Amino acid sequence: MSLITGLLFLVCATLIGRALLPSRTILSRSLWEELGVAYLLGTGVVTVVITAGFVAGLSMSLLWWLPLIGGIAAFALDGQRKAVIGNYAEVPWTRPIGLLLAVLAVAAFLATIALPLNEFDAIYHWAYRGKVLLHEGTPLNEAITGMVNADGYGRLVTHPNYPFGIPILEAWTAHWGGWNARWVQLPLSLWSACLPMAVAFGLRGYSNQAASYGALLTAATPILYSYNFLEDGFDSISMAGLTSTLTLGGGADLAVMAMLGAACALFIRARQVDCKRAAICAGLALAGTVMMKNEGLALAGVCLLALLLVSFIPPRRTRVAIPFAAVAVVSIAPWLGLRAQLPAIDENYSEQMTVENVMHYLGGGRELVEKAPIAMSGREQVDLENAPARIGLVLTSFWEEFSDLRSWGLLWLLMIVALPVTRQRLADPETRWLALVVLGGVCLYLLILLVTPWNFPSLRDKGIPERLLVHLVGPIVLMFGAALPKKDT
Amino acid sequence: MLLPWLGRLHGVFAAWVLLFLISSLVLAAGSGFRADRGRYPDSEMLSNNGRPRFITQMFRPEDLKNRTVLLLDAPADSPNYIGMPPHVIDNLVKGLESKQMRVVRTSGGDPIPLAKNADVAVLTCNFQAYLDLDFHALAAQMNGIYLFDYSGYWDTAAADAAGLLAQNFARAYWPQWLDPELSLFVDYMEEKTSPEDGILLVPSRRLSTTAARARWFLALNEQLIPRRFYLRNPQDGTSFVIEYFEWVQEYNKLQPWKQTQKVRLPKRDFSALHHLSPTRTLAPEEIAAAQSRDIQWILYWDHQADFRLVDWELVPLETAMQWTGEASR
Repeated sequence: MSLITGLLFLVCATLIGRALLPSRTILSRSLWEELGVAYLLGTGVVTVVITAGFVAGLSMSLLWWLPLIGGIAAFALDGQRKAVIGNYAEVPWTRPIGLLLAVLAVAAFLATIALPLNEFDAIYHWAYRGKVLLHEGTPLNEAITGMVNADGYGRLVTHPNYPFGIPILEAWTAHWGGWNARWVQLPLSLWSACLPMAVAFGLRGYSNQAASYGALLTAATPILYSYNFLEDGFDSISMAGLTSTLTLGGGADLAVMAMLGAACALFIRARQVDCKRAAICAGLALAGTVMMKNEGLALAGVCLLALLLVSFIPPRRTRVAIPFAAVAVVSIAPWLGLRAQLPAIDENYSEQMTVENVMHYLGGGRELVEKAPIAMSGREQVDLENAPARIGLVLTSFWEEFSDLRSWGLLWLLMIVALPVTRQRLADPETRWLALVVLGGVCLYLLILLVTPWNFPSLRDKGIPERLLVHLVGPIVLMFGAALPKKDT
Repeated sequence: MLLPWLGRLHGVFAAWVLLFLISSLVLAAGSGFRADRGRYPDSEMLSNNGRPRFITQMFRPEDLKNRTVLLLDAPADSPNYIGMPPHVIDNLVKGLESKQMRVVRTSGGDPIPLAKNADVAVLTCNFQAYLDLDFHALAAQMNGIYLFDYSGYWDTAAADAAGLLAQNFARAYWPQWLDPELSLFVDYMEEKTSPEDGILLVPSRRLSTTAARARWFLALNEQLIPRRFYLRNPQDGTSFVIEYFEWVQEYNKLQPWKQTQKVRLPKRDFSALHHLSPTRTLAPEEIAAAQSRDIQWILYWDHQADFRLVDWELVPLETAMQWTGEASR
């Protein structure tokens, strides 16, 4: 039954997203671009609305109906809008590229649900919360809030102030038919399939060639599916799809990536055609980014700060900038209200991000070697005097990632060559904004890792920074696509 | 020209992606679309030098000469052999013999007749006949109850049912939640407790390992929800591995078990090793924590990287309180 509920969610979220998107006569798009963007937008809206519902004291069993009612209403509205919404545009890609994109999308979808949840974060961070929502109906329950008490005893929950986007989607799927560790992943199975469509949609305003390239380059980026594949040689192929280096599945990083990509794509289209409705959609997608993982909040801050910076140079396009920022802030606010009621025990980056701390590490502050697992377990004495500088370790890890072809392909090279360093590119306000988002995102993660209170090499072992940098795939490819020669604009 | 050219080059990685996706799907299909432990790398022995201290420390030094070790080994050229390298086994044998212990090697033969009066049995490899061993027959022959699994292949639940204590010394690479004994215990807990119940987790004694894998309470908490699990200082116990280390250190410094007495059970619900139960009376702060919450059960556990049925005991709160009351009289 949860299989059917999961499929129902895919339909409802897509219908909701389609209903929110502006007319095709204003924002032209092909069917596939529309489906990709609509699913991401609909999913973002569902998580925003249900999170707001939790703050209002409503339970999951009641809120469960909203996406269903929204889907039905959107379906009814679709019939009425047919006359004014306009026709689909031609797909921007050739048939072979379309076929390749379809194969990759279907294979990624199937690979996600091929195994039940089978990764630490997916199970202990997200599925636990999903089960709490399923059984208790709200995150404002002892199962999440009851960790810290005066007597030292409390409930068990990993990172209690993580957002509830992924758990909402899982709990929604499990509402009918109970929890199934395979089918609860259904709403999470389309991130890699939808992002190329969203990128194509975002680049259509530049040229069909850019849209086609953008979709293909996104889909061909290995980290959309896994990182460090075959790192230990060809023998390790037997582990494909099993290890924690899988990005597909029940984790949250691809969700952040897809939502941010959709938000950026919608916003640059909104600016290009001066469409307030598209800007509102972009704001909702950005709020959806925040609902998926705690880094989403920081990325939303980067997007809004970048917007502020580009607004200093005309054209300001405040008609779209203000609705985008306002809707994003208003939609994120309920989560902040909810978060304030949850125990903040770790990952308080804002506490660490002090000028003093940043300057200390930028000035060569040493790595916290005494907090390495081997030192903490007493198995090895630490050499505090010869501990390496944290900045060196972090920069090295970023370089290792940028040059790791098996995880990223040439994505980071594409980013560098697409930076708006020429007068022509600088003249494009959308490219300026995207570049600030990308560079801001990289700098943000660099700073976060610089001041992290944990031992950085241990984080590196757990797939950091690659699991953070993957969030930026969408804006990187959009920036690259925008820089391509405009043959058929 | 450069940008489209670089773009095309990046597009080639679609082949790499396809290789990954097709491999994932084919391999998942091959394991029945389940996460199969068999697909993970083989377990590895923690020590590669063959020092015998794990075995020798089980006995008093003056008593070692009276003890017999049954070593279940097989020729390393046996088909699909996985286990300790022969030179490590030789080191182990030499180490044991230097302590005057008697070592009986099975060398691929039937271990049951050779197990007579053995105090310890040591598994060194994945030889199929050893994995299909009749533990009841082995227990009937052996003098002691200790099984040392240096290759990580024995079914510790089956050994437990025969009254043998299997200790896994191999590092497993499959994830915690695929542990078969954990699954058995989750089924048992589901049957024994009701979904509304509250359960206080109480370590039986000093936390003996900082292995992250020993955090079995995370799996129980996730798999048995909506049952309510409570732990001391959970904000460290469930956080990153560094905080978890601090949690272990803090608990060991606090030593709540020092204020309590061990409780031996005449019979255990799930494990056949009744004399090795992790049960004890409760410390005052544990009583206060249980009484100030809606708690029905105490789940005692011995903190180990390997999930063993012997290390876990679920006891009604009233029973634990009764033990504590009787002990204080």
